[in-house]
Amino acid sequence: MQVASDKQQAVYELLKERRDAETATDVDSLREDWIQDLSDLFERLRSWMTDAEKQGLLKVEQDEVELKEERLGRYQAPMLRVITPGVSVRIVPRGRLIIGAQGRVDFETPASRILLVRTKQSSWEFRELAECRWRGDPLTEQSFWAVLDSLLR
Amino acid sequence: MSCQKAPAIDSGWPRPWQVLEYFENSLESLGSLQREAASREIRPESRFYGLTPDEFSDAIERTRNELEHQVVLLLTASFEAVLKVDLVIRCRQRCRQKVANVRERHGGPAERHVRQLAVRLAEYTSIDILGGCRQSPCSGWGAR
Repeated sequence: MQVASDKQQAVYELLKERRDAETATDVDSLREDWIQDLSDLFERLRSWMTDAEKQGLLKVEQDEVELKEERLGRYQAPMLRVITPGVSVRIVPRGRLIIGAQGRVDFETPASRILLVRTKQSSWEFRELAECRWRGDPLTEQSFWAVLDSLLR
Repeated sequence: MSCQKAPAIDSGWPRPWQVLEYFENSLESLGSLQREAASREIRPESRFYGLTPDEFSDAIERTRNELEHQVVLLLTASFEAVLKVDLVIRCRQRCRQKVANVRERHGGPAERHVRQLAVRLAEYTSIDILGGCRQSPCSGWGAR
């Protein structure tokens, strides 16, 4: 059938185009960049908590979590656990392929959750709901402690 | 005893076809949102920004379900309003006709009955319509 084979040809062309545009190396480098960015982020967060850790106010543990994403497949990513006398806060990556952004890490306790979104490479923002509109608050040491404060209360 | 004024019927309720139009518009909006998200063109101000594809699909699914429930309730209410208003209009016409018939047939001596009927007509149109239908003040009176 001519129409079907035309359509089939169109699908083949589209798939070839996509295959050429995105090779396995692209996917691997996407995943590696993401994991590297996560390691850098966690190193930064740990450095901000060193003083509190030295004073015995909290304990930071690094662990791994398995993520599964449609294009990236299954992979291991780092995560942090901030253990305090009252609550423990999990800082856990949710994925690289995020709607509108380039990755997300959640700060979560059993009671609440705050999102940290990777807007571009090495650039992170907390998502905040202010006056009924979502906005981004760049990750700084100050914003990090503000988030921790709201999660621990 | 003064005669109550019958309440006016508000004709501004959404008709079933308008509810259907709302449903189809909303579905199309959801579809546009899904296409926007698929092409990753969601703006940071959007409440869907930063969601994983699974979270986004769940959010859309929940919204679609909620929309369907809402539209079912809206359609039920809209059809009920159509039936009730139709009933009120028919009952009012029938009662008016009966009052006119009594006046015409009996003249002056029937004035007391006419007044009673007018009062009951006003009460009737202000009470629960479907319940009132079963005990219509006009039923069995003046029809003879």
